[in-house]
Amino acid sequence: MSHRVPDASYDMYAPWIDHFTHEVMDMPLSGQPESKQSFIPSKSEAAWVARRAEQIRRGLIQYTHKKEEKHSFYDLWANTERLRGIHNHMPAPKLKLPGHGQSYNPPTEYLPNDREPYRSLRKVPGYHFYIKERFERCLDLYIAPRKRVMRVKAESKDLIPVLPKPQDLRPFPTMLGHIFKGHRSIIRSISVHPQGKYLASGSDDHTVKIWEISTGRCLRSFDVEAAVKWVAWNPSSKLFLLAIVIENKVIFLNPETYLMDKLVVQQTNAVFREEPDQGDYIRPERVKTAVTWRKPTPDEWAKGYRIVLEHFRMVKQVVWHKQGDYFATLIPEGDHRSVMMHQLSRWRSQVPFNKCKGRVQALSFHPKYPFLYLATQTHIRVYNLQKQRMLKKVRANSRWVSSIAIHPGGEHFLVGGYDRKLNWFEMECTRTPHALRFHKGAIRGVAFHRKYPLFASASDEGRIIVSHGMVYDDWLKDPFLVPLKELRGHSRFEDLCVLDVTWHPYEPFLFTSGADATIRLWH
Amino acid sequence: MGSKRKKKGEAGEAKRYITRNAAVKKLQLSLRDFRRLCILKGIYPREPKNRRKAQKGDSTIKTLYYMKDIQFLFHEPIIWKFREHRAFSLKIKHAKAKKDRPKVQRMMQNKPMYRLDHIVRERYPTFTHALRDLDDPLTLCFLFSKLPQVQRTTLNMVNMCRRLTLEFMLYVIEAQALRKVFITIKGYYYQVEVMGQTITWITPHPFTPQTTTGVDFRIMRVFVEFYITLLGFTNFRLYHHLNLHYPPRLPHADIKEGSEDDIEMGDPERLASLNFPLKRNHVEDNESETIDTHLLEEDETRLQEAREEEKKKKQQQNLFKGLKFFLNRETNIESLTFVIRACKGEVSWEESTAEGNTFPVTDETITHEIVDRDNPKQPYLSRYYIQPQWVYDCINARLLLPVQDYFPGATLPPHLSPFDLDAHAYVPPEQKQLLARQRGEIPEDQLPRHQDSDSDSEEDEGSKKKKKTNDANIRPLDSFKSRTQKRKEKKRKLVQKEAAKEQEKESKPALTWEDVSREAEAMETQAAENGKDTATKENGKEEAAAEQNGKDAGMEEKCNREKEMRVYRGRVQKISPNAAEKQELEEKKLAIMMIPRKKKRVYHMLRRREKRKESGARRLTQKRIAIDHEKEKAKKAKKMEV
Repeated sequence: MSHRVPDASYDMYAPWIDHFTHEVMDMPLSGQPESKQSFIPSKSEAAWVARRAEQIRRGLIQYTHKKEEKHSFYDLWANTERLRGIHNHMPAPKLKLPGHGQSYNPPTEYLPNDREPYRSLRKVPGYHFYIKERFERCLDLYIAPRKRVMRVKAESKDLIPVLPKPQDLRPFPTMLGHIFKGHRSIIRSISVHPQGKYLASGSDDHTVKIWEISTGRCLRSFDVEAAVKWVAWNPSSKLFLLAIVIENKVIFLNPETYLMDKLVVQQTNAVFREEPDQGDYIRPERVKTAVTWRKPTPDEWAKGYRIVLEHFRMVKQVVWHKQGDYFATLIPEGDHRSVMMHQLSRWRSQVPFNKCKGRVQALSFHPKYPFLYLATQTHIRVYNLQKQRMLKKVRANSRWVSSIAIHPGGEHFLVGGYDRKLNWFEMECTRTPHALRFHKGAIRGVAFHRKYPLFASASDEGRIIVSHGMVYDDWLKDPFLVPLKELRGHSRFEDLCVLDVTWHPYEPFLFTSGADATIRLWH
Repeated sequence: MGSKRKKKGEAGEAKRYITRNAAVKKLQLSLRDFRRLCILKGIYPREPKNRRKAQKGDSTIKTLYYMKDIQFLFHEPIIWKFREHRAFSLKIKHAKAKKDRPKVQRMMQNKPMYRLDHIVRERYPTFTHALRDLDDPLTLCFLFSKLPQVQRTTLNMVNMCRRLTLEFMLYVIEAQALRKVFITIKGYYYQVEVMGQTITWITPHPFTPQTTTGVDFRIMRVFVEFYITLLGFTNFRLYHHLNLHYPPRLPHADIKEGSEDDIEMGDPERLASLNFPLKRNHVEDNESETIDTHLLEEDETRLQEAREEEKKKKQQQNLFKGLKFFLNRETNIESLTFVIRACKGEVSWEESTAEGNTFPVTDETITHEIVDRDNPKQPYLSRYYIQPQWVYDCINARLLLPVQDYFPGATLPPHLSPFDLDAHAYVPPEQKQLLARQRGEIPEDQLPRHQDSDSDSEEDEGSKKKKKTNDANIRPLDSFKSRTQKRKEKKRKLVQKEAAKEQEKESKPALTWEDVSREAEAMETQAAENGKDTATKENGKEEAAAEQNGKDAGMEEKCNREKEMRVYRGRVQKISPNAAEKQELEEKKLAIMMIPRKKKRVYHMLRRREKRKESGARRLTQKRIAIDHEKEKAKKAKKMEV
């Protein structure tokens, strides 16, 4: 604005005359009377006021604002009334506490090779991931699924059963006594003479050797035509006779030694010099085609052969009955004629079973009664030979049975398997055998001691385990089984190690034969 | 006819779980609100027994919540607050858009607010429950208390966290509840024992924590919101348990005439408040035995152990009683003050460093000055100048360790974890020494266990002086003496032996039965040889070793007998030195074979675990041996040079 007024006479600064003031003048400017409405209170306003008043009264409008405090603390746990919480709450696991390694100045061995220790507290920097770690913990707390996991807090040694000390269960073999050396190949079978003086062994090098136990000397050695599968002494005290198995033959040998009682030797020779009179006995066809008894040729007689028993197939095992007259042979591939019973005195044979289920693995006689134990691959069958009945059929708890041994008491038996299992059966309760997992290799042989509560098992891994097996007359009481000693010594040859175990008849001595062409005596 | 046919997904596992999306839909909340609700209420997903069944045939991994948990959330009044808040935010958005400022103002005043008291009460039915779960709250609150006050949203929280953590620390000081401290590369671990519950928390090193990518502060804030409420209530209860005012009345606050609660305490005030005792309602004398004796009555040994432990605890609580510490400004004053005061020590610092100092450097009664520099001036002979690690190590060891190792500039002994007490794991030699010291096998004022040539060279004059005075009493003099003594003894023995030999030659008649024994021995060895064969190489070796050993034993025996001026020949004993051990091992091996099959799996699992630990321990031992060997070598080389 240029502060210019178009009219020159106009006084811009003339004094102001206030015509319409707020002051009530004595004389009104206009003569119009006041409207009536201006004297009447507004109804709408009154309604509005009333509404507000009502609202205030009801506390809907608060003009004096009382702000509630977010944090005010009091004794929250004063009333002990229990509120409903989370169902089956699983508290979050606590953070792991740091070990020596996380120290700012750890022992030198905890330091990684490339890190220098902080030489003083002043030099420790801030941890870069601190917030990140806290954040991750927060995430874990609300987003990680929780699960109850049972943690075993025990120590391994708490689980080891407390067994009696082996020293308290003596005697048992603890160390190597003798090594019988002489064979040049695997020794498949050994047998201790019932009087406990001699040991016979049959090997793959086509020899049978007789050893003196007390000195470890080889008394005699017999060359035979083939590898010897089995040797077994006749248990009778009147005969000095060894049964050996070669291919399909069972040969009865009189290994005359100068140490043996001459009378017995002569008697044995005399018994077998003549063929027994068969009378009018006609051998059934089934037997005739399976077995032939014959006298040895003069050459063979000179070698010591007394009787030769030829079978129709390969023979695996010969088992003597305790009296020494009867014996059974096992022909694994003989189908229904795989088990045969023979009588030595009368040169008679018979096939006890019409049918034979499964491949028979091992045979054994009951030590007291005329029972025959027959182990197929997965089952053990017990027959009463007198009554010609099957007594029991037992599932072996093993996939492939290799050997069987009967406790001298007759109420228990041991079954070893190629699947590394060793099972102790009680005749009264064959359903639940005591599974003994002693071995890590296939079990080749098991044996009970005749007098002491001892048994031994040998396996391909080279260990022989001697155990204490006490049985009680009380049938309800479980046998008391304690492994006593682990024997090692035989070396391996072509995945084979220990092949046969036998006990001395009355001493706590153990004999083992091995693939390393040695026999060992443990005492 | 008959029962209704069962359908898949209508019962059992399928009904027991609900996926997250379904839960959100059911609760009619946004995902953010659902997450918030879950955090506040402490609801977490659960792992079903069978995922396929729980997810109605679907085998992809989904977040599954327990149906009962979601039903539990239905009744939560806070959900309505969330909804109110949503309505509020819409309204305020509207008002802001219309620029209706008075309305915005009014609405802001009436902003919907919720409290979490009932949730705390619900989640922790008793106070003990709350204490048991205090690890995470404390850790997170300590972190937030260290955050800069930048963001407006977190400002209030940060202040609250500062207040509450400080209060908790003050409580620990008052209750003398501190048990263990450990400095890691991550931060400081503190372990306290409050009303029988062990609580451990971590605080970062005294730097502003760095934020890294991938951290969502919104989630952390929700946690902190809940934790603040929880911590406030626990603090209240704890303070009242000790007959203390809550919020605490700090003496210096009166002086400064500041308002007592809601002081926005910065760091200086924080330190100041840590350094003063709190005002109590009235002091109670609770020196009575705190062990639950009637529970332990039957077991005398356990009672004894508990008493022992209690005694040690008392010792730890009064560890620094009567000691005066002065902290240099480069040390972590907050941590040190907290730790020392929790063990009844007195602390002060430079006036210029922070408020709250109680005595100046010139105070002659100061016993320890904590320094973290290489070459500090040490004008006072009346006090020890030590590095801060000493304080922490003393607390963990529950006794005052010799200060020599901790002089400024010295190579510090390793700082060991007080939490690493596994028997199967590796125990460093320092720990073994410490344990021996705790058992009282090493006298307290013994030599520094950690001697390095470089530490000697680096030491300052002042400390050297002190060391000399200390060393004069203890230094290797003893060991030197013993060494010389041993040497002398050896010489004496040699002389004796020679004399004995001469005597042997002269005295023929004495040898008669000795010859017999020699023969017998020869027989024995022969027998042994017979027994051994080529195949029993191992046995043979053993026996040979045994023989050797036996001979050695024989020699020793001989020496002993020579003193009695009699000459006998030692007999060969065929017992290998570790026969018993071997026997035991074998027995164990046999016993293991008798573990039932079901237990065997557990046994092998445990064994594997133990083996892993053992192998770790072995590795560490070997490394340690190598390091020590290296050190020794270096030392020798240095000596040679000299």
